[in-house]
Amino acid sequence: MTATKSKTSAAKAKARAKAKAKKLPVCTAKDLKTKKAKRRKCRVVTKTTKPATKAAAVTKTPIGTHPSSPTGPAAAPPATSGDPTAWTPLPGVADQRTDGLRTYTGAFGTDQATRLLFRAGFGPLPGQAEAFAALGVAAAVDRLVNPGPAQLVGPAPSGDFLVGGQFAPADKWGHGHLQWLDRIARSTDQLGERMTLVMHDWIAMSAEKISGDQMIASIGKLRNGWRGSFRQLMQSMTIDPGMLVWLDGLDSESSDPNENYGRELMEMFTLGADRGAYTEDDIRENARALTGWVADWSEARGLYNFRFWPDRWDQTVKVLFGGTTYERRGNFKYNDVVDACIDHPLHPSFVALKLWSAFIPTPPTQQTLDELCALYRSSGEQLLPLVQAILLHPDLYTGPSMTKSPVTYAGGLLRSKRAGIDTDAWTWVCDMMGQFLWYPPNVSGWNERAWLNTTTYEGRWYAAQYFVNDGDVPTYEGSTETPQQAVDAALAFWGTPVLSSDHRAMLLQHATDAMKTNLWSDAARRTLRQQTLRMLVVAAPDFQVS
Amino acid sequence: MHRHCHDYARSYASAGQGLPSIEPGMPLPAGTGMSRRSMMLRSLGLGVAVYGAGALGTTEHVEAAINDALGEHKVVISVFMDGGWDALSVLAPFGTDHTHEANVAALRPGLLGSIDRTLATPLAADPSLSWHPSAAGLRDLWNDPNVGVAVAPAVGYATPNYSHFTSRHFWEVGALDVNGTTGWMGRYLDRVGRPDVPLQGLTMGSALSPTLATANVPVAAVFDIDRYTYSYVGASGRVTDVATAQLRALAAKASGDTQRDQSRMVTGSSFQLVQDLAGTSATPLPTVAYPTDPSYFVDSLKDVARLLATNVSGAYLPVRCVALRGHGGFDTHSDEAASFADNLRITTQGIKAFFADLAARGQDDRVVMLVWSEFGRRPAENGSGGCDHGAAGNAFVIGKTVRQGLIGEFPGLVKAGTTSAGLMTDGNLRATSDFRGIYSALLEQWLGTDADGIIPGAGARPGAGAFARPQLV
Repeated sequence: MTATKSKTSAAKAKARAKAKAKKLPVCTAKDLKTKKAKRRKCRVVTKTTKPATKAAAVTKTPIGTHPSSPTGPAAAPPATSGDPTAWTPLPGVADQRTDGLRTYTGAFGTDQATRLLFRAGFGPLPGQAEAFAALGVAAAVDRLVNPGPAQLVGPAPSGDFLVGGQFAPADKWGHGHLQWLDRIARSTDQLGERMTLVMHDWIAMSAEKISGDQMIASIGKLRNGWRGSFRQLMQSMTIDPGMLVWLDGLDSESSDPNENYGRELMEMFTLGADRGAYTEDDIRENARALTGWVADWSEARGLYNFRFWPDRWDQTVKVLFGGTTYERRGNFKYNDVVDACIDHPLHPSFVALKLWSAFIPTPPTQQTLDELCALYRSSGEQLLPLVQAILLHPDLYTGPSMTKSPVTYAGGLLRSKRAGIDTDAWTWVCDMMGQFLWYPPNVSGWNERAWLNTTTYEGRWYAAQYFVNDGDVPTYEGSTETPQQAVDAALAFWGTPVLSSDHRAMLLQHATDAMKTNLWSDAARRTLRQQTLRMLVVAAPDFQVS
Repeated sequence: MHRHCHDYARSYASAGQGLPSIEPGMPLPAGTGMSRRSMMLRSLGLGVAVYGAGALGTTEHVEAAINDALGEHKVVISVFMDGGWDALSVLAPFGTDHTHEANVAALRPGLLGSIDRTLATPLAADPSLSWHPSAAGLRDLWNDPNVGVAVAPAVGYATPNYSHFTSRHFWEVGALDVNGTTGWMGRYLDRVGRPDVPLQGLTMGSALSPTLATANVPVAAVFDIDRYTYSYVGASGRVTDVATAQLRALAAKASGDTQRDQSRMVTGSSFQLVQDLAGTSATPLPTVAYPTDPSYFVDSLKDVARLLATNVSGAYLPVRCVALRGHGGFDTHSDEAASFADNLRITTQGIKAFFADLAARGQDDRVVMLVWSEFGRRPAENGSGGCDHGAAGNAFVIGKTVRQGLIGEFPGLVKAGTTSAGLMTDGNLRATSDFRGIYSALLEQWLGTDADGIIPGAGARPGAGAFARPQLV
């Protein structure tokens, strides 16, 4: 970079620019507190107080004792890895690696590493793509699968929206989202946060209906449970207090069973709709078996003491999947129907496709699908071996791009800047982008095939603007910066990400054209060129996919 | 009937010959005192005279061509009641004939008891039914001589699917096809829309409605019509124009990578939408009273009314199809009394205010609204103060030009096994009209295009297609 920083003229440029920029009204606390407000009718307030240096604000926090850590039966300790560069396949994986589950053997440069980090996590920290590329694909995947004890690295959250310097997800609207976005930006267990999000989209529950405490407990079960047996996880989630409220299992009794959970257990969680896996009769039988759960309520505690009460359980014979070779008949209760769904011959392919499509936008071959299903069964219904096999699969690296989800985009920007959560505007910005954590639109989760439209793009623009608004620009007085140097500087602003060749060409063209505009000075042109280039790096269409 | 159309048709018939053609978008000739509208009519008149005789020919087509050029399209608004609304409560059983009420009481005493029958108004078209007290907005529209309401008391399809997502998908794509990828309004836009006008298919909110999913032409979602801008913090003027031009140039390229190209298309549409929406902010806010409850649905109705009234240099904005989501969720498996009435009240009062707003703005004869849900709920209640997924539900078609009446009869709750059974063997309400028949009627009678090719199985017009078309307009 040829120009040097001068605080006064940078401030001048900023003030000049601000005077010209079209403004939204500043967000009020009320805007951000009430979900009924039109949250986007206001703009993000630029934080004026910043830590003296970035280094001073960096903290390392172990998150093992985090309040949202679960203690549920499905919890399993994360695996650890001694040497992060060692390729150590999970037991039972290496010997099953066949044609359908072959490992990518092509070039593994920063392009491929960036894609892996956006698919299995939330994008690279500055320099991380280079570091992962140096590992090679096998060790890179291993580092994601075996991250060691998770830590939060980077600037701690700051701002007056915090309660005593902390998030308050149980009590404050939007803090569940903000706290999760903080983990997404800072956790060393990127795959863990990614898979928790995959599970939140799959076993979708919303704070629209259940309490903050229940959401914390439920998400915590997903966060730890995905590394264990899916059968155990579904057993645990079926009687999770939040789930019992969310899908009306609570107070469903034998005389008039409620079908809500019985249907979604099959349709959304274990078998899938329109595959011929079950009938309406099965849903009604399911609902009868799932009866019997009750809780107490008090003004002070809300719902508590969730328990199974046999008197309210339908104690008659139920028939599941009647007339098939896998028909089950018996005096089932809640855990039996979960087992029946997990044992169903169409369950493994449901799981395999669910996970595959979370990482790869093109369908697997039948052989790959069959082998994923076999791996799922042979591993005792574990998700982790499937995830590992999918992350190693050539289709991930050689296939087409995949749209970054809104929190992947937001998390990616935060990570590229090593920035912390310093505003609660990340609630409405992510909501506008179409993904407000803790508030999936319904039990089917988000529509991952339709992230982008003219409104969600506007939300992504706001997210990008937040950082550009906050960024210092050199004075450029007497600068001789070339277009290529300007592009490099704009890329450096974002941690020097990997871009498509079309995207790079577009940036260079703009850096050239901007100097031909009719402005009062070359310095002004270079200032405005740099500010617009920074937007064009992350707001361009090609940057929305990886 | 569309009053303006006749005016335009007359203008066309009497004017146009011998006048110079003028291209859309050209400035008005100075000092002529002519509106751009009448200039465009003349130019179109010439165009039709040259090309029209064989291929177009009919007055209807000429009108359509003129309206297209003026941006004054006939508009369909879809309002989705999310979650499967309880049709047997929306049209509550407090009609003049009490047999139905007794049948309902036997199946759902709790839910029935939660409705204040003294506030329910009988529905004149069916002795069994009444308007739920919180559906008074619809009742008032029914009673309004300037608005027509067609009521489908038991709409669905013959082989009901009880999944929210599958049944909703069927309604959205306009076919019983789990693999369908384009919406029924989207296919209409693919037929009549333009390759460069995203505003032609508009969703209010941040999730594009699948009813508007197109194969070819762009569509839009917007959260707030007054705030749709792309500003560059700290930069303005020519440099930002150049930057936006670069984004649009990249957006216009094809890479062959599916999701990258979708992203490019959306980026291009986004900047185009800023232009499409130009002039909207100058359109006055409503003068009629809307519900004061905080509601994005109500806010978006106000925005849509302003959009439809926006006229820039004699041309209306090119909106053709709009998708909205009614207020609140209707998936009342439990404690229906806690949410249903409020959500119904805010939604229907909002719709009532919207039509008053359109009338005040002189736009009410351009709009037909379809209110629908993915299914009705189970006639029998469950033990949680709610009811589970059911089959046939309610739909309403509303508009100044809509012919008032029933779409299909209400089949009653007589148990399966009898000849007049309204209940199927699984205890759910039998459909007496097919949603694809309503779509076909809207396409043919309101939008003036063949349902064949848009609604699979509709068959050619006229003649008996697979789905009986109600007479809607």
